[in-house]
Amino acid sequence: MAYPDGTVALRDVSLKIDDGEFVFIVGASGAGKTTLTKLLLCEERVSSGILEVNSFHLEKMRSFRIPYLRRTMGVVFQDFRLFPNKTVYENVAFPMQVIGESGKRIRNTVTYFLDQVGLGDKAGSFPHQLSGGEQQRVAFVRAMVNNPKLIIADEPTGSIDNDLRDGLMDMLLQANRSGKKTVIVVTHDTDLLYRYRKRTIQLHKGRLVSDQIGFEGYAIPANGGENA
Amino acid sequence: MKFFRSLGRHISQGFKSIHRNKVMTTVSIIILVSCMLILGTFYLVITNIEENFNSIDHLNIIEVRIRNTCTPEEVEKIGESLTAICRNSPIITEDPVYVSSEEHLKRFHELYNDQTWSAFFTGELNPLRASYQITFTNFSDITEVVSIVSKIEDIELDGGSKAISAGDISSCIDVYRNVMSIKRTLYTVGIALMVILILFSLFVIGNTIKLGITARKDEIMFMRYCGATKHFIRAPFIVEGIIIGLLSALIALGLEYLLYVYALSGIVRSSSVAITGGEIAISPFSAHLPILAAAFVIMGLFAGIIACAVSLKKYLKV
Ligand SMILES: Nc1ncnc2c1ncn2[C@@H]1O[C@H](COP(=O)(O)OP(=O)(O)O)[C@@H](O)[C@H]1O
Ligand SMILES: [Mg+2]
Repeated sequence: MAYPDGTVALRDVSLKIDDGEFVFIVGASGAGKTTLTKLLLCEERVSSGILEVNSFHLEKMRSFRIPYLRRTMGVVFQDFRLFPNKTVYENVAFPMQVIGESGKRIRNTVTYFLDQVGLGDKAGSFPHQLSGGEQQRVAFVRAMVNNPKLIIADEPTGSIDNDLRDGLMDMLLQANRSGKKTVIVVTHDTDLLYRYRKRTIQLHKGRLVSDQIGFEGYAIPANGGENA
Repeated sequence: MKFFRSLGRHISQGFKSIHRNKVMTTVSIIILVSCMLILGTFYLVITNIEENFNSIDHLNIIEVRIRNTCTPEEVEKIGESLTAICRNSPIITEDPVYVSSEEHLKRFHELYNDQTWSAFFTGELNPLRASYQITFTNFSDITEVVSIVSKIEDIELDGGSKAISAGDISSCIDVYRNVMSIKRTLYTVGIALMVILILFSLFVIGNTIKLGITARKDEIMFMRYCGATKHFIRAPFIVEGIIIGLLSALIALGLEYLLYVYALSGIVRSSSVAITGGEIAISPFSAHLPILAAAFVIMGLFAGIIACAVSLKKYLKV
């Protein structure tokens, strides 16, 4: 995949992630991890090759269908990106409103999800009135309300403390295990990789260099590997 | 169902955005309203003057004056030729009417009966010449009518001399030319002003929409990730443009009404006296309401939607 300015961000990457898998994507900064998630979301298009996500063929998909692809995915952002002037309820309802769900359905779903994460009584609060952990749970259920098949988290633990990080990982793992959701977590946090031994895909300078269960250190040191 | 649900949301979002963006919205509306007022005012003035030309009697008459030296037979011959010319033309529906010089004097005294100098002109000292009067219906036809009537200049009397020369034909064509040039000036100035203001209002509305887009950047970004369609993201801005346009049309109509009733009609009336020598009847505002309302609404929608579309294209990548 090449950006308009000619930067080739990914090349010769060939991989298959099955429904219901939990996958880490790792690699040094600039390796192409974010580019990969952008391709999945169809924010960038592949320059060559084929890409199929949730039975959408992205390499030849017409752009008016992009929204419908995105409805099958949930994105978890690093900083929670809650709307500060919307209540918890409104924040969680938002993704349902923008795809035109009915008011009744929105009410039922939002109430159900907020109860699930123990925030039923905080529906009317504003984000700044919540603790970090609570905000994180709001952000997480907001990514879940449209019942995505695939959850994408690009460096979700980058700027948060360990408790929050563990809380988020628990939610992602649970969504994967009991919700049967496919989860893709982009990270360079090696702690996570050692602790949760999951399928780990390593990228380096836009190429796939390793794809295995578990993590035993970088296949190519972050500073070298020019000739690999 | 889904469509109406979304429509409701777009409309409420549009109003919210206007509320959030009060100052720019107000400026947009003021400019758009000025634009409409200019158009409306020029239109009202011009139509009022035009509508009234036909009701000012003396404007629709052409007089062919007859020399005092003409014999009754010659006068007769001129009359027959004129009648033939007039009947030949589809614009002139009435035959020429002969008005003797005595009759002219009588009318003259009727018109100026209270003025002492008019007493100088008596039966013995009558400077007024007999004439044929040709009456036509539409003042705007005057140029053509005059050129038709002028064919009488070709008629030769028995002695070979011309019966009528150009100076013997009198009409209000000068008034017509004056009015036309005033009208042209009004139109030119009005259209130029309008074009400038329209461009300006497009610019300002476009910027208002741009501010709205910037203010909602994060929200829009998030909406895209949630799978909102292009139309769904754009619709509130279009609604905002439409609201600005319609609101401007409404305000402009109200102001135009006040302006018309309290100022314009007086001005038009007095300027008509100055230009044509006759006072004209001012039509009621309601007579112009449908066309003004239609023009304002079309203008408002045009400006609102175009400005919005351009802004969206430029600043909102979906
Ligand atoms: N919008 C862009 N235009 C051009 N080049 C880009 C753009 N985004 C990223 N890149 C380049 O693509 C490569 C991969 O970037 P990225 O996918 O963001 O890496 P990572 O997320 O692994 O740090 C980098 O060399 C980066 O400079
Ligand atoms: Mg990145």
